[in-house]
Amino acid sequence: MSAFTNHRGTNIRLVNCAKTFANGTQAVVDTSLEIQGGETVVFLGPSGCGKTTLLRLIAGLESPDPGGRVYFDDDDVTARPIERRNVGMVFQSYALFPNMNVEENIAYGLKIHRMPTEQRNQRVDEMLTMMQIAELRDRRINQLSGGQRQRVALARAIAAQPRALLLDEPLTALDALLRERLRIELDLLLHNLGVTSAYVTHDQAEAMAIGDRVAVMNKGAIVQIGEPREIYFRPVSRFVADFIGTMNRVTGNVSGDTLELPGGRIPWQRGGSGRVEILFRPGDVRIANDHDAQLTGTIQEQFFLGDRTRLHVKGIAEALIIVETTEHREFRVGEAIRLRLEPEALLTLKD
Amino acid sequence: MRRRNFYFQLVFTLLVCAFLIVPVFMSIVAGVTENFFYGISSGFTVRWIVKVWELYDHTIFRSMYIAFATLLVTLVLGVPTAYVLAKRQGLLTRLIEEFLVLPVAIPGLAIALALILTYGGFRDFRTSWYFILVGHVLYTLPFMIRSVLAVLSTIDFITLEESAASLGAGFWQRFFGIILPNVRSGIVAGSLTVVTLSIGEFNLTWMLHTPETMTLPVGLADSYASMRLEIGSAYTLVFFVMIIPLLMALQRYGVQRGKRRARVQEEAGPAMAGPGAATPAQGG
Amino acid sequence: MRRRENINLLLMVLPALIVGASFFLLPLARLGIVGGTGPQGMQAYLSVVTTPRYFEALVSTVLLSVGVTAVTLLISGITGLFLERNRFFGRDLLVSMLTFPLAFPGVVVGFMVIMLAGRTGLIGDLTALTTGKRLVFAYSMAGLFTGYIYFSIPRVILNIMAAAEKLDPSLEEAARSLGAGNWHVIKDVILPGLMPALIASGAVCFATSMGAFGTAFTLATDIDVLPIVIYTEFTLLANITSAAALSIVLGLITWATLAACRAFAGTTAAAAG
Repeated sequence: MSAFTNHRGTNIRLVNCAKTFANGTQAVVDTSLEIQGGETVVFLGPSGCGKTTLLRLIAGLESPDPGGRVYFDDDDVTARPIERRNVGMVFQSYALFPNMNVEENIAYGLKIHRMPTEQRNQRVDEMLTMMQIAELRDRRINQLSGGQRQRVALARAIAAQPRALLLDEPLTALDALLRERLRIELDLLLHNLGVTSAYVTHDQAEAMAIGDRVAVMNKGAIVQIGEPREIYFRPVSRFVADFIGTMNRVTGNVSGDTLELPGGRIPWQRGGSGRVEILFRPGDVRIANDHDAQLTGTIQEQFFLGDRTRLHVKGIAEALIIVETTEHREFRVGEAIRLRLEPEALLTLKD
Repeated sequence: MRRRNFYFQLVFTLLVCAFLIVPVFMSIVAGVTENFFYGISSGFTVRWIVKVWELYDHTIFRSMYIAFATLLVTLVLGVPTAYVLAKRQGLLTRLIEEFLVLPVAIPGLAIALALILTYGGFRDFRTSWYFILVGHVLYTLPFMIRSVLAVLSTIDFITLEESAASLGAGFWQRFFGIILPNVRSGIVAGSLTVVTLSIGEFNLTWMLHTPETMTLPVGLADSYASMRLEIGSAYTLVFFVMIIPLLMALQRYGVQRGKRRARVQEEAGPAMAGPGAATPAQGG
Repeated sequence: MRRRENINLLLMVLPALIVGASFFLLPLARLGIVGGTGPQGMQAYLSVVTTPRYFEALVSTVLLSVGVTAVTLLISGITGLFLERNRFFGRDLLVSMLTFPLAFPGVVVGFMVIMLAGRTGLIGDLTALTTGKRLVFAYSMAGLFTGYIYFSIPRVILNIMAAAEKLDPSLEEAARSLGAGNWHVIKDVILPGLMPALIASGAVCFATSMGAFGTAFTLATDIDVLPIVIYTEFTLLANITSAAALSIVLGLITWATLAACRAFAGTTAAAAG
């Protein structure tokens, strides 16, 4: 643990917060949410789902509609503007001050809070070391690369020991390789610091990797909030299922204790009868050998993606299903393939 | 074919340049020649320049301090106004932007007339250089505002402000610590424009001046009408000497060329494509 | 939070609003009223059209301004495009020379015209050498025209160069790849691309010419342009009402032209974009 751990992170609570903008759009519908001290919650959703607005409500850049309240621990901060909430914010464009160099940027919040020079310089040094950018101290902002700017933005945000760290798509502006590397570093940093964090992204892989909990949003509302595994394996709605990863959707016929599909049979213990729609992840379908195969189909397309192979298989259901496997062998179009689905991998959804 | 086109255009351009520059040279030469009618052969002299100084030195100083005062006033009035216009895009700001076009549209003569009719009765005011200052500020303020506004529209100052706010900075801290340093190029370009415009302003000043408050252009008109050609030329030479450094600075520090200026033009409206368009719309 | 900010913003803009209201709006309103409260009352505004002297001045001013705008756009178009798209030794010097007269007040421009076409002017010398007759046109409409072109070219050139810089070269390349020659490229790609800038600078050129005073003042021509008439009415004839009324009319015409061009340029830009 570093010297900057907030010993007990701030607990953030939103109570009945909604946000309607002047032109009538309702960006966030009545939402109540609690972020535990030290926890990182990721707001995930398509553009326009309200995740950034929600973040800005926590930050104090927007006020909730009348009736909404925001609490930091027991403090009602609803009426307080951002400059008095002591939050650290990282923007998508980083918003580093072009008229200052790296050191001055990082020191800015400390200056505003009138930290004595001696102490301030020490804190800046610590930040530079922690972010591994000590050699960039005197650089001007326009001389920095994307990854470097990101680190400076982070350093600046956490220098003043904020009660909460708010990140608005901080990795979106970077290229894919850098994003993956920084994702890991960010995850470690947030956990080491122990600061309560709210993170906005539209990238679900990022959300899964970074969040202690993930809140999936759509049309201004949180449709599901939970740990990444839960979101992935037990989505509560079609929207969540479709948004996170790929989902196969097939209709089968229940008769007794089996589910009948065009490509074969699967054991079925959930009762009911007649037509039923089930969903399952491409990675949950196993390629089987002759003894334990349940379903047979034909490979229509195959895509080698490096770390895995994606297969479009026809004949299993009415539509094509997608299968992902990490087996190294080469798959050929037209090849027959045997598959197996464990009953736990099957999902049924209300909507 | 391309070559021929190029040369034709080059010659055309050179002719246009000649049209503009040759009389400038002629007047410079006339200002240092003994006798213009006989040309250079009559010998070089500085006596005309000395004469100009004797007769009109007060106009030169007055133009300078009026320009300086105009600059100060337009900075104090204009920079905050540009910020407000950039921040709030409502009806009121639209209205103000429309009004900013007026000093370009309404002839200086008319503005001067209006001022005289309304404030001419206050004798002390009417006969002081403050009266001229008012005219100059009215005329140059829109240029300062537009120059700063142009820079503001190319930087995402709102996010910069939000990040400063997230670090605890209040309204005024943000304005002086974040906004102002980042619109420096607009302020510089605007300042150069304002000073250049003020020094060369005639239409308004001619109406507003009194014999005690003559500026350089007013003096020029006086010398053209009543003095011999050499004196007028020498006086014009002095004017050129004052104006050249300003114009050179404008070329260097005017709103950045390239992509920035392109966006600036789109967003800031017609008369704003760089120092050129931003200077005398009333130089006639 | 926004409310607090609005108050601060209002405070910021208050000085400018006060100055604007008291030294600009108020006097203009007063001008308008004075124009309509003379012996003729509101009729004074109509007199612009009914009095031959005024009407002639108005017409000649408008015609002059339109002519100047057209010629300036043509000249500046050619030179501006040429300078923007070619880089050669001495180019920057040429640009500086072309934009130098930007800062000249009208009186200096008038003086320049006299240098060129006055009684001892350069052009007179040249024509005397070649044809034996001295051509002196500084004090006629031609001289006025020349002067107005003189101060218009630098401004418009800068505008055009700026607009030319932002033209997308790939449009031209696409046209060329489809077989378009120089003439077609100019007609179908470059001119439409420059149109908003041409309209905008044309409008400003027109407005400046309409309100130009110093040049005509120095050249003291027989042909009176409207600003000169206004001046004479006010200072020599003490005819305040007419001067005021004429000023308002002049202001309205220029403002209306600018507004119309802005609206038109807006739609052109939208169509082109």
